[in-house]
Amino acid sequence: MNTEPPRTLHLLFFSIARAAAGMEETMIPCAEPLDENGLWNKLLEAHPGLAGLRNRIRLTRNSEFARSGELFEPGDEIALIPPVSGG
Amino acid sequence: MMMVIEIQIGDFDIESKRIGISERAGGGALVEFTGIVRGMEEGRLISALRYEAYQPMATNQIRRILNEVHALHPCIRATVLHRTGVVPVGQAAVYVGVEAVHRAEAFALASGFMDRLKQDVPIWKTEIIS
Repeated sequence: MNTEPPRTLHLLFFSIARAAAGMEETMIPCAEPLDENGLWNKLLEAHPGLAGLRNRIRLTRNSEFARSGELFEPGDEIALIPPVSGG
Repeated sequence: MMMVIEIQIGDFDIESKRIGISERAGGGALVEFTGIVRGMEEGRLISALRYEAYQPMATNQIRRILNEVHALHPCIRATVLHRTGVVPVGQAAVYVGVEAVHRAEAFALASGFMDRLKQDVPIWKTEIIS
């Protein structure tokens, strides 16, 4: 049985974030919990096209909007949520 | 509050899922809102809107918002239907039906919910130009 702890983050890109990243989803290496700044550093390293959207994007952690100060853990599903436009 | 929430791809039948007058759960007010795709968006002619949703978060957020607005404006029942995929001009993209004892609560919940939908539910639309 594989008891290795997860060492990746599962990222989902929607709407204009998908266009900027050029993909719908990806996995990035992550062995330690990250705060929001740490996560953005990793994101921008892999997808510099997202830099201009940073102030407009909300992050989710496992299908909930991330709270201020919340840490992102290896194994989490994280979505980049640009301004929404339902209805 | 009873809730029905459906987010579906394609031309699902909003008409058949509306809260019917004969199906009331005891309320004296039934408020319905149907959002229809306009042919003009910001001065441009369009043929359709393409909606995408982050599921299951979108459904969970709708449930959360309904509960929050219900706490302020108690109602009996709410139905929220939202299409995803391509919705042509003239077709319904969203439906909100609210049943309450009195009209004030039903109007307030429907209106308050729609305001929050447009802020906090991960659904996006893209214009498809004619």
